[in-house]
Amino acid sequence: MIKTENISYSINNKLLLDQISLEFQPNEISMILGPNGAGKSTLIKLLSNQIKADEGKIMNNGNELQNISQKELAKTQAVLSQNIHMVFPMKVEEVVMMGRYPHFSSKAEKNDREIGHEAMKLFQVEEMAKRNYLTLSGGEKQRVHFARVAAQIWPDGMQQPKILLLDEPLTYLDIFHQFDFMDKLKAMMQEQPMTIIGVLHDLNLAYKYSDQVIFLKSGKVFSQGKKEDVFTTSSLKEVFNLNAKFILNEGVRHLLF
Amino acid sequence: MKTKTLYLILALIAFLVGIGSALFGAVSISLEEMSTALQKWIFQSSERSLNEQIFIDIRLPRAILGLIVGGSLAVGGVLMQGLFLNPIVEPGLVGTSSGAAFGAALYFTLGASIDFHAGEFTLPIAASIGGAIATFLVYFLAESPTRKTSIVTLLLVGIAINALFFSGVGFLSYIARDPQARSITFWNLGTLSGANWLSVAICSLVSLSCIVLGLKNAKQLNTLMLGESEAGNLGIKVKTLKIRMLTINVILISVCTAFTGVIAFVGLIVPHFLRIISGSDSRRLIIGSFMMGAILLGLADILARLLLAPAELPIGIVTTMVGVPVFIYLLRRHNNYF
Repeated sequence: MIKTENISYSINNKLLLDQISLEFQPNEISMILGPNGAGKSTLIKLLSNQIKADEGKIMNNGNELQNISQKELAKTQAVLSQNIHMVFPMKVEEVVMMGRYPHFSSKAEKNDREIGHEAMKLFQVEEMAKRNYLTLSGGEKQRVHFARVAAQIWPDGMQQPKILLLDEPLTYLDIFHQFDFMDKLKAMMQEQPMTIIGVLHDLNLAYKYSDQVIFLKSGKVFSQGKKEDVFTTSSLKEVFNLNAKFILNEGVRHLLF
Repeated sequence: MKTKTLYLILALIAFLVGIGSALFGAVSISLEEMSTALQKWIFQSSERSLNEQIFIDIRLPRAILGLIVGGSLAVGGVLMQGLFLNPIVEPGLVGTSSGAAFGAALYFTLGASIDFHAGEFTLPIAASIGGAIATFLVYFLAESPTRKTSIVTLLLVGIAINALFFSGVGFLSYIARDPQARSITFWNLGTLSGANWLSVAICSLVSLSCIVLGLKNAKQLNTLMLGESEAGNLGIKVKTLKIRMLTINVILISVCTAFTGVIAFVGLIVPHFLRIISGSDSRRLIIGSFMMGAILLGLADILARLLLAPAELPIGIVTTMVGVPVFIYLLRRHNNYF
């Protein structure tokens, strides 16, 4: 479980996040939603320990995040971002194996190689394992990073929940792979307790796959809770200034705007 | 190509280049003379012909020093390119070589009047201090607190700091007495002519330790290719990694520079070609570049001795003549690196 207790963060005297207190449960997908500049990315950076909060603290599976070494953290927590830019040629399998780096010291064990292979299979990049990453299309590259991140927090039978932070990772994917990726995440959660916290821009996608929804507005939590309770047309109006309505199709709610 | 095959081929070529480098020179030495000299040397026999003496005391240390220094320069290139994520960076560009040259020149000219003694290690230490000052100056001046170090800034700061330290070397050779001044000038262009068993021993020791340290950090260096924040998410402390890489590079390059002078472009060319052959995994790059750098500098040394025989060219001139076209080619082709 991840818990933030009154965290605030400001840069150049501009308050980006103001007294954020949230809880993220294992086996739930929490989506952080809000307009540009609401502080979504800042929150992800704080949770991934890339930046430190000015005030408040973050509890990560019972320990204060500040007290966990970056190396230990990487064994249970992974971050998937968008637009990773590489300049040097590397084989796809080598990129995926980087996800196992936190788990072995100098040479990959058999177990690590197997996991790397499984992860490549899961995201259908195993047929390009030997190809140069730089020659892939944008969507293919992103799938390679899915496989890398999956390899990092691959189910290992441990009770301690894994944590996955998503920082708009679906931006460059076609619609099929967007759904495909979220489905696979759900499948991984069946095998291993996982806390998934994500920032997605597509509201319908966020609604479909989330359990908990957090609306951020100008650095403050506007509302949080189960998606059925929080995801309302009135909050969309207030947070995004968007006139939306829900339609029911075969028992599933969809957003129209 | 399989990694092991690659290593094997490179090692074989490096070995042949080493033998070639020991064979060529003003006095021609036959293979038989080489082998008898080696046997006598191993069995501590005192009677040696002149050719055998030349081989054991001059040619062999020179050939070995060439291989080790070439390899070390190339490894320095791998580390710096990995750190700055750019294939046109090499130790010479980030100030290490000029700083080391200044430190060493300072020791040459003023060493007698400074009360600082560390035996045979005094010169390499003086060079390392100079190299460290110049390199960290470039690094911290080029660094931006908010974003990734821009390559243009890095190159420009590098030019300025290099100019500063080279003019320092110039100043020292200007105030130095004549024989010293001449040796500083020659050595400013790089030369293996001062090789002896002592320099071989010190360079091997330092080079081996630095390469082992480099290999220990190879995994971390790989993660940097994904960018700094991704490396952080994979458990790497990016800041300390960078300082470690710079320090290894400084020691490796400065110690070599202390004995051979500034030899440019080896660190630029070698990793580039190796990347084309076998990709960018840092572990493979470090091991492969060491051998390929050894080959390149060994060949350059043969050329340096043959082109104007019986006189010899400073080896830095040869490597620069090869390196500049490669550098320009990289600049023209990979505009996206800026």
